[in-house]
Formats: sequence, structure tokens, C-alpha cells
Amino acid sequence: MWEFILDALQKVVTPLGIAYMIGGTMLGVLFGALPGLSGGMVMTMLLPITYKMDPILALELFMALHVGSSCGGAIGSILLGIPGTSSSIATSWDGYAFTKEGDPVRPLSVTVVSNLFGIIPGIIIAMFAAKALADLGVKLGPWEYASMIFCAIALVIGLEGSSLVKGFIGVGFAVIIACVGVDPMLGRARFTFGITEFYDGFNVVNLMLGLFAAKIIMMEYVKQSKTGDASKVKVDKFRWPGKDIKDNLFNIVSSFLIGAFIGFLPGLGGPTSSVVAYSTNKTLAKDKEKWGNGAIGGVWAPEVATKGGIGGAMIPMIALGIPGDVIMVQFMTVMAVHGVTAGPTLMMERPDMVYILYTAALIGSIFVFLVQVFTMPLFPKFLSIPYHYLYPAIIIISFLGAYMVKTNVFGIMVAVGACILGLVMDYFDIPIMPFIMTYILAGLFEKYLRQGINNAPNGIWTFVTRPVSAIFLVVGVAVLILNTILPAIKRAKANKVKA
Amino acid sequence: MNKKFFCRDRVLAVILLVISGFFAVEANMLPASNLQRDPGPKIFPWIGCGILALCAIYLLVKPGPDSKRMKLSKEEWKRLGIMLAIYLFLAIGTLLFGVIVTFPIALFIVSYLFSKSSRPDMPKMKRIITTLIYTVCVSGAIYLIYVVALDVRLKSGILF
Repeated sequence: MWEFILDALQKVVTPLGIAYMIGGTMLGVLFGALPGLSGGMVMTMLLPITYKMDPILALELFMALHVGSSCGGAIGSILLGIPGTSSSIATSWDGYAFTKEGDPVRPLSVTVVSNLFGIIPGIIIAMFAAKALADLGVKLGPWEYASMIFCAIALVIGLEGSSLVKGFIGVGFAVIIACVGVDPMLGRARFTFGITEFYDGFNVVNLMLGLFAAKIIMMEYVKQSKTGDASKVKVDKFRWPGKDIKDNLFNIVSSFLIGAFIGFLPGLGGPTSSVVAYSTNKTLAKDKEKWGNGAIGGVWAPEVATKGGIGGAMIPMIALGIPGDVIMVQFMTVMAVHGVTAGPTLMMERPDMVYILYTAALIGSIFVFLVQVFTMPLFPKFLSIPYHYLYPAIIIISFLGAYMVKTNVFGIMVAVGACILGLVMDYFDIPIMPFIMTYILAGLFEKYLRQGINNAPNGIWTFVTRPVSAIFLVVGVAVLILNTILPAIKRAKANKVKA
Repeated sequence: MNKKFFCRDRVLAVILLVISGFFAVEANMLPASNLQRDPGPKIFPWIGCGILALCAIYLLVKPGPDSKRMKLSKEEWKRLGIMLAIYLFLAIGTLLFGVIVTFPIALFIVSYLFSKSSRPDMPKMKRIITTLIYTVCVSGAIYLIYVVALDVRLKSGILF
């Protein structure tokens, strides 16, 4: 393992690599800080550029963007009370109270240090856990993989929090759209309607550009949302929060563990882990009455948990080829563009790529720490960037990216179509996450499902009779059933109280 | 009664039934597999259609309330239409006139619209000139990055 780490360090720490990482972290922090935008959006926007880039530099840039944006989200929460990302909602509950009292540096310093406490141990755990999981992964057959994908999709639908039926509608749409193109087993055309461009299916990059970048900017224009003015907030230099660390040691450790575990589960990530860590530590805190009105523990908990999830989310992506969230989908796409397929064989075939990811995340966390330490007095300026200059450029770069995917107009048309689909889904309250996750996994799911049936001695029953496959099926079904029953029980109880 | 019956979820249910019906018929016309136990290329579309049809039936029977759904005012719908028209212009314009002509025009229009909403007091002439300078600078920077540095080939359109 150490030789891979040293080799990765040599490849990552080059003058150009460092320049990409510094640029990536700054851009990530900026996009994370701006309410309405996110690191996911800047990554989607820049995804097509990676087609022309060296794969190592592309992964470095993307890891820097990811780490930077995860850390930048708290800036808006603390200075304006408006979260930059959904993961930093819980940070605003206590962080903004400090700004109102005239001390924004204390919570900001805590968020900066939480990068180190969350990301670095998370990546170290990922290094060992992903290897162990990948070793198990190579022993599995198509039955286990098909069941695992079913379980991942069920977790995304069940744990995402919106209506189960609407989640399934997203899945249904994704399955049908993923069928357009060539059948993965026999290579026969399906749902192409005589249109040549349909034979390759719809590129996921174009879909994401439409569903995220184009739709988000469109809705910003439609809603004319304006953020508050942070230019009047005075932020001094970074202060090392030594006493706060000592006083919140249990909070930091427990929040990290919560973040790492939830990050590992598909479809949850930062927004859930930050709230779970916040509420758990609030319950256990001695000063719980202060939480929500300016308790520093209320800043540590969501921030460490969000960052702890970065390493956790990498484990299933690297070891099994199953992305936990949209960000991991983007990493998989960057690797796939350069002929590297995430999954159990990745550790054997391209361990260099895996360790480049880990190393980039570790170095990225140090860079983001340094960038935030030195630029802290400039944080209010980040939030005062004129939107009317930023948004038009994002739209143009996104559509140019859609064009770049195959250098044809069809990519732009797919992005526009995806944007319209996203609007329709929003109108009918259909969540995007189950749709995009299913679309990514649909090809593999169909292949494993059909291979499983084709090679099975007991037909479709083999999926149930093989123990690992059965476990995944049971977990998936249990999550769906629990998410049907629990809200029904809650409703019944509420009705009883009303009556 | 009609208005209450055709709530958003029931409208969605009807759309889902149409979509699932259409694709189920299309899937039925796909040829069977020549592998012995392979369920063939029909199985996956059928799964998708089955999911949509079941969800449609559920929504027809038990629709959710409309109150918490996305709601836009008349003005917001208008702005949505304008933005959608610009996106469509980007797609059709690129096909007809190519990227080099279409993208700067779209950039000018979008930045003009955004500047109009964020700086409503700015005089019209000043806004046009500022937006023009912005468009030239951003288009030039994008051209340098994509065409010169990344060597992306920008095809011309059908017309020129």
C-alpha cells in the first residue's frame, strides 16, 4: 500500500498538479459558499473539459473542487444565515448567532479545522475499508451485483425522505430512458425510432448538465432570488480553536463516525449526516438549551459529519462501482472517460488511480485548510460576487460542455431536454436523485439481471437462494417496507391525537 | 368537483399511464433473445413500464395534496418561458449557425436579462454597453480556453 501512496504522491504533487488543486479548492470554496450554486454544479459544468485532460490532473481538479465546495458551504451559513449547500443547513442554526454577536471568526475557524478532523481520518478509513470490500466484491457473481444495485436504489428511494411513490416514478423514468440505445447483452437497437443519435443512448454528462446546471440557473432567473449583503460583516484573521477542540472532543469523534457511516450509504450524504450528528450531540450536550442560539458544539457536529462523509462515500464507488451520490457519479464518469471502470477489479487493475484519488483528497483537505486560513478576511467578498456576471457564464460553459461531449448539437438538445424533464419532475414533486442514480446503474443492473437469469441453475430463484444476494434483497425490501409503514404509523398517531 | 378530481397527482397518473402504455407496446415489438434462458431485451422496458403503471394507479386512487408543490406566479412562468426559449435558441441556433455565432448572442441575451433583474436602475444604453463588453470578454476567454488550449473543434452550422 505504501508504495502506491508514494507513487501517487509523486504523480499528484507536481507544479501543474498543485496549481490545479489550489485553483480547484478556491473555485470549490467559492461555489460552495454562494447560495444556490454548489460544488456539484461546478463539477458538472467542468465535466466535459476532463475529456481533453490528463486523467490524473482531472481527478486532482475534481477532488479539489469536491473538498473545497464541501468546506465552502458553511461560509454563507455563518455570515448570512443562508446555507451555501444543503449540507450546511444545520451549521446556520448556531453559526449565524455568532455573527450576530459580532464574532464570526470563531465558528468560521471551527469549520476550517473540521476539514482536517473530518476528511483525513475518513480517507484513511476508506483506504482500508475499500480494499476489504473490493476483495469481497471479486468473489461475487451477477446475482449478488444485481441484488446490490436493487438495494442501492431502494436505499436512495427509501432514505431520501420524499414520497416513496414519487421516488419509484423517478426510477421508472430512468429505466425507460436508459433503455434507449443498444441492448447490453445482444447489441440490438431499442427505442431508437430510426434516429441515428439514439443508438448511443443519452450521455449521462449531458443529462446532468441539463438537470443540474441549466435547470438551477433557469430557476434562479425565474425566482429572481437575491442573497443578503455580506459586505458589511467584518471578518478578522483565523484563530486556532484549541479550547473549542478540547471542550468538544466527544462531539467531534461521534460526529465523524456518524458522517463516515451515513456517507457510506447511498443517497444520503452530507444533508442527512449533518442533521443526525447535530441532533445526536444536542441530545447528549450539557448545554443543550444553548444549541440553536450560538453553541459552538452546534457548529462542530454538522461540519465534522459532512466532511467525514467524503471518505465514506468513496468506499462503495471504488470497491463496488456503486456511487453513493451525484458527486461520486461524476468521479466515475471522469474515470470512465479515460478507460478506468470503478468496481471490484479496479483495485487490482488500476490501484494507481485509486491511490491518486485518496492522495488528492488528503492533499486537497490540506490545501482547502490553508486557502481558508489565509483568505478568511475575504469571505464576505465571496458572497458579494455579482450574480449577473456569474450565471450567464455558467449557462454558456454548461451548454458548450454538452456540445463538447461528442462535438455535435445532439448533446445540447439532450441537455435542453433534460432541463425540461427536470422542470416537469419538480412540478410534479418527483425527486431527481433516484432518477439519476437509477439511470447510472440501469445498464449494469440489466446486464447482471439477465446474466444472472441466464447462468442460474434455479432460474430467478438463484437470486434468493444465494446468501449474499438474499441479504441485499432483504435489506432493500425492508427499507422500502419500513418507509411505507413508519409514515403510516406516524399519521395514524397524529390522527389519534387530533381526535 | 372536476377541479378537485384533476389535481396534480392525477394529471401525472394519466401521463404515466400513457407513457407506460406506449413503451410497453414498443417493447412488445422487440425481438426475443436467441440465448436459451435470457429473458431478452423486453424485460427491462417492461420493468420500467410496470413501475410507472403501478405508480399511476396508486396516484389515481390516493393523490397527494397540491399545497406543498412548486408554484409559480404569472411573471415567473413568463421568465421561465423566456429562459426556455433561449435554451432552445442555443440548440437550434448551433445547428443552423454554429457555435461561434450562436453562443455569444445567447450570452449577450442572458447577461442582459440577469443584469436587468439585478440592476434595475441602470440606464438602458449603459446596460447594453456593459453587457456587450462582458460578452466580448467572456466569449474571448472561453474561445481561448476551449479552442486554443483544449483544441476543441467547433463545427459551423448548416447555413454558415
